[in-house]
Amino acid sequence: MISGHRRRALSELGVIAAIAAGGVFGGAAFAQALDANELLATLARVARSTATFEETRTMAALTTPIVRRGTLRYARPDQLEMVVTSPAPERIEINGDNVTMESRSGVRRVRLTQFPAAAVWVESVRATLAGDQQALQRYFRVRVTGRMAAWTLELTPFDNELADVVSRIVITGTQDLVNRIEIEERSGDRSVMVISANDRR
Amino acid sequence: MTTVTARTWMAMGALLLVALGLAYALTRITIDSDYSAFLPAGASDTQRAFMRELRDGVASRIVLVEISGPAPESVAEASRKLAPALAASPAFRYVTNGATAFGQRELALLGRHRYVLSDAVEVPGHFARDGLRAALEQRLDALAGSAAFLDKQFLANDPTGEMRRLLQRMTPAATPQRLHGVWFDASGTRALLLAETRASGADLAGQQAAMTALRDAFAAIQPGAAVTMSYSSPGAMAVAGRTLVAADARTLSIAALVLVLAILAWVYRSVPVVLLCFMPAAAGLLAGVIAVNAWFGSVHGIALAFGVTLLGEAVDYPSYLLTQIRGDTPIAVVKDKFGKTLRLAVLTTACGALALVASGFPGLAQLGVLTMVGVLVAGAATWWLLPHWIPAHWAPALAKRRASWRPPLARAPRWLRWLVVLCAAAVLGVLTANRPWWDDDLATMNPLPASFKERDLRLRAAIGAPDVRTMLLVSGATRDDVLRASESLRPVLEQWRADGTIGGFELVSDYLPSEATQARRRAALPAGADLRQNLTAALSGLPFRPATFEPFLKDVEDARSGPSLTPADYAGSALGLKVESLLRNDGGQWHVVVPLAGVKDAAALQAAQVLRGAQARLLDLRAESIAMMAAYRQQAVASSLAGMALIGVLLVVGLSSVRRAVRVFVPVLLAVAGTAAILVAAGTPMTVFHFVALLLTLGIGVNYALVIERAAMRDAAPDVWRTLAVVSATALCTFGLLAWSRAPVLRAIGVTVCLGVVLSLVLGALLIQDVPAREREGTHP
Repeated sequence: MISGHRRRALSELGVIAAIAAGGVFGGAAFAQALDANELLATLARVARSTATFEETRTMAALTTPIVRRGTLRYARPDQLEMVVTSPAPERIEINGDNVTMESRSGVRRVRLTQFPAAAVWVESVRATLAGDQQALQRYFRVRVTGRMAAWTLELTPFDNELADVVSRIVITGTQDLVNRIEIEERSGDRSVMVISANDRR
Repeated sequence: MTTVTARTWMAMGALLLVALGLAYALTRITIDSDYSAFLPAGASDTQRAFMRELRDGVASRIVLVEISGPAPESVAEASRKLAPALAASPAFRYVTNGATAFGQRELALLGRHRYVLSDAVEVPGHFARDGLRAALEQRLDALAGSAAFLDKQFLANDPTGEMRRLLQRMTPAATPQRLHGVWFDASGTRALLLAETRASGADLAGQQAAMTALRDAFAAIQPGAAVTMSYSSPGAMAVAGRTLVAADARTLSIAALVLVLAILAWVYRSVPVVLLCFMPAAAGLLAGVIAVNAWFGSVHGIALAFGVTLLGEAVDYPSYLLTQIRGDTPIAVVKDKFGKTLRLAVLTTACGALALVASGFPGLAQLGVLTMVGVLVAGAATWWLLPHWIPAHWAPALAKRRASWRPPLARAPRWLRWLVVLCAAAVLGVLTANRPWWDDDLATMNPLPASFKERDLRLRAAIGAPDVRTMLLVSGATRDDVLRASESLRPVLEQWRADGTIGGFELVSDYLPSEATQARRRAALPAGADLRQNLTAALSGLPFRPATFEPFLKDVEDARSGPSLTPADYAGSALGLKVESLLRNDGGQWHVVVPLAGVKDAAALQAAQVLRGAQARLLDLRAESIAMMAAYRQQAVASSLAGMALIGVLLVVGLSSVRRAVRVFVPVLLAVAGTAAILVAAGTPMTVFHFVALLLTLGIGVNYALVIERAAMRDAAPDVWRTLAVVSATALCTFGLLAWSRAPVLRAIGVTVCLGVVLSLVLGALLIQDVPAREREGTHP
């Protein structure tokens, strides 16, 4: 019945970070066949962005999905913030290796490196936004498909701790704008986050 | 004179004996390095418990390892490789680096038995509609929060959150932080591991082998040039201490040997004679070791080391004869003249040792047998073998000068000499007033530099390992008795942790509740139909799919009718090791060990009334060790006093005169007392090591006094002072060098013996010298 200690290490952070892919905006490019270099170089041009999100968690145990709403903020190279407004207020701030979590139960400060799987998860988003291909390839098999106007970045984790829980992360976007992050879990549960950017520089 | 044939036969016989002895020694003798075997069995229950903890206690087996390097990633990588390598080594029985604290197997075991392990089960209404409803709402909140993954895995089987509660309780408050998947210290630069050796902490050979295995394992994982490992454990510190003492002892013994050889070479000017000087002591040591092994089944390393020290006296035996030889006085004449004195010198030391044999303490008894057999054999070899091998017409170089030297002190008036002695005694009396005479804390004899201790403390704090020092011990007639007592301790321990008296604790009853508690918890679980009904009611209006919780219903039903949880259920897991190390059966008596971390004030805990009700007592290992050393020392002192009485009787019989016996013995006793007083006055309370050195001083002092007294009777003072100059010079060289050692043990022995030798000579010269003429003529024609 107990599925393992490793998963315990997958803290809240992972989820939030994955979701915290700030809205990103695009310039002109509209190439045809896209490769990872080109896509990540484009994404790397965005210094900071804010966006609103709506995340839908579908779980086998529940008859209805859980829907979470709030805002996301990203600043190059390694700051992410997620503010959840409903159903319960929560705020997660990731600054380099430091993580601050605020919820109704209080404030907790932890270090990302304490949770290797979660750190990998955060990297899936942060390295994507930073356009850090090297970091991405250290943890994931990276596959890019589509065109600049409608691209898909598919990340399959190498890391065992994360791979135990997550089978795939699919990020889709237009130009330098991320507009959807989907996380598929091995259990069949999934989470889809739709992002609407409202500011970027 | 001996014929050549007899001499040849004698030599061949002796050589054969030595060869047989050596062969026996090399093949049959077991050297015991387990220092607890040297200690007494323990008089009280607490002392026996202390001995057991010292031997087998988990705290004494724990090794703390740190890996450091420039990059945390490579350090973590080394930790991940080292842990499985150590786990595979037969030298270790448990290893954790934080990544494997609770493995899959342990989590599965806790999960299976969670309903008898969790105290929340007994809370009224826990499985009633309202209790379940509250738990389910919490689960739903969690699923909507960022920690969803944490909760989701336990949801179907454990909606009431028992696992979460168990893991929280079992994770020590002070676990190190996990970085890159493994334990790191607070600075985030050093990875930490904790390993438990298979060998007991008192088994130094086993500990040494484990440390070698650890270093080999680290080398084998090829951690990279800049990545280094260091470690600390009680065993490692004992091994390092022993290595340091052994290294110093070796270097200084070699230096002493060279010096002694030089002195003897200068005095005797003959290679065979110089070599012959060592023969009796060597033969004595061999015989002593064989005797101890035959009697006790093995020879303890400590007894051997002390025995060699005590046999230092035997190196002088040949010199008592050899220095007296002159052109006109061949050895046969010397033997005739000094025979009685040499015999008494040997027999008095043997008598002193006899008292140790009878002490009943295994260590002292071994030391006694070794010394007794050693000096007897060395004396016999000096008496019967040595003279046959001395080259004909040989005489020491000194003998050519017929000096009539007498120490100047000895020429002063008798009353003045006594006055000097009494004044010195008075001064020492004042200086030693209000000073402690004894120091039974073995820590003061710790030869290791302070950095070892500091590293141990730092690692212990970083890893949150229990102090090796303090623990609670709960004893009872049955396993269930001690488990119940252990359970009853939880409230007071929690209180102590809350108010900071202790940093943490570990109770075996958290892993293995008593039968009664298990039964109570099983009884608190509702029947299947009731639980289903409660759950259905609780779920109403919540978005959970009811079928989700079928595993929960089944688990509760299984737990209700399940068998009791016993130690066998944990066999082969980290939890099994934990239970085994914290719960013991010892000769029909059961004990629970409760390791305490971060104890601020052991005395305050000792005084706590609550412990008595639970048949628990505080075991302060340091205090116990001090108490035990004190008992050892008292026994040694008592035995030695008996030995001194024996020596006194022997002197009276041997010298056929009470007056002469007093004349010989009083200066020796004063020398021994004076040595002790000077040490104490200098701020060095005596340890058991000083005491053994005092015993040697006594043996040497009696020899000197006998020789001086003998000479006084015969008016042969000049020759005697030459003899004493040689034997005291060799003794001072040997022990003077020890006084320079880094190891307090060796320093103690060296300083004590040197002081004793000097005082014996001075007091002998002052108090024995002038024998009234009438007595001289009367007793000895």
